[in-house]
Amino acid sequence: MLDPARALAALGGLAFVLASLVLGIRLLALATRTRQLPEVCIGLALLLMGGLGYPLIMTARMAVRLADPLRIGVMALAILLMGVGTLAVGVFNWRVFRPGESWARALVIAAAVSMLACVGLQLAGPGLAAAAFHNQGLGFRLFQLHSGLLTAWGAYESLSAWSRLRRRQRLGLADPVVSERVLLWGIASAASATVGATSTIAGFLGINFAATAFGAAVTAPLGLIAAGSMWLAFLPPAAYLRRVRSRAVVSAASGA
Amino acid sequence: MLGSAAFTWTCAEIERVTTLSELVARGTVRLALKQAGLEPQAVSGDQMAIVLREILPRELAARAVANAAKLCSEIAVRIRGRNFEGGDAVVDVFQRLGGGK
Repeated sequence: MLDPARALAALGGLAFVLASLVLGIRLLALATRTRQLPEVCIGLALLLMGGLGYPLIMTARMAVRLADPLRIGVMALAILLMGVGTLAVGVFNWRVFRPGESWARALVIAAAVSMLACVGLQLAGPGLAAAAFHNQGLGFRLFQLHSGLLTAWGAYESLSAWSRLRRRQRLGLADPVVSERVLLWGIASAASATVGATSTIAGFLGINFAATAFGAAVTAPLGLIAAGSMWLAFLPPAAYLRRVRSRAVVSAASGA
Repeated sequence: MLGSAAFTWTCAEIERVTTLSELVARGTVRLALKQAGLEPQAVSGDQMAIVLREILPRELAARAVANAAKLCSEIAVRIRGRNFEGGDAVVDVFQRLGGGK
């Protein structure tokens, strides 16, 4: 029987996967209408990383009844999806928050090259079997670090942008719903980057993060926070939007 | 990074109607924009008009510019007629990501 800590972690993880799947598909559908790169990037990032890559990695690790070659194949597919999703996060950050900055473009290109190098390091060393069966290998861990770092960059950019939008809002120069969406994306990014970074650091220390009470204590609340924030950002209930708008009116009236 | 047309025009106007140097005028407008959460390279004419009414009078008065409120109000009226466009990728993208909500 599943102990309560692991059940909560599973709940947090499941909420994150479901929200990423639904919202990723929804944002990609939006991209087919708008034909804009940011929508493609954020849709791909949610679908490939949270919606597919993360559960596939867990499947490769935990589905011990599957044949070994199948588990290795699942891990290979997960790494491919995570790599493309991570690059999508980087391109989103660059094109939305730093469109004119050459360093941002260079950073995304460097991340792509570095992820390929990490996969090469893993294949040349312990191989994909070690990553799939035992969560081991320096190349695999360094590869995972990329998604945490690029997501953390996105969190920083979103929260900085929200800080500017909040100041604009006081002058009536920003839509409170858009400001709130930027804030929620920043919170979701920060939560998922924290889970990813903690898991990777634990891996470096030889701790099987997913199997510990500490891992559950991190994954459960942050998974739920990330899922809830993404949902409110991209599929908000009408009542929530009314609340955001009325709060902005009250805030403007009080001069806050 | 270069400023938007609204930024460049406003700085030039402030320099023309006050005794402030180009450097001080641009610095003052930059500070006002920062307080408003706006960026010199992206600010539009309409946004600058609000900054001219709400923030710049205080900033210019702090630099001993006489009749700061009146000067800013006049510049604000003139900038409205010039249709300087701005652009903010963050706002545009996150507006679209709501799917029209």
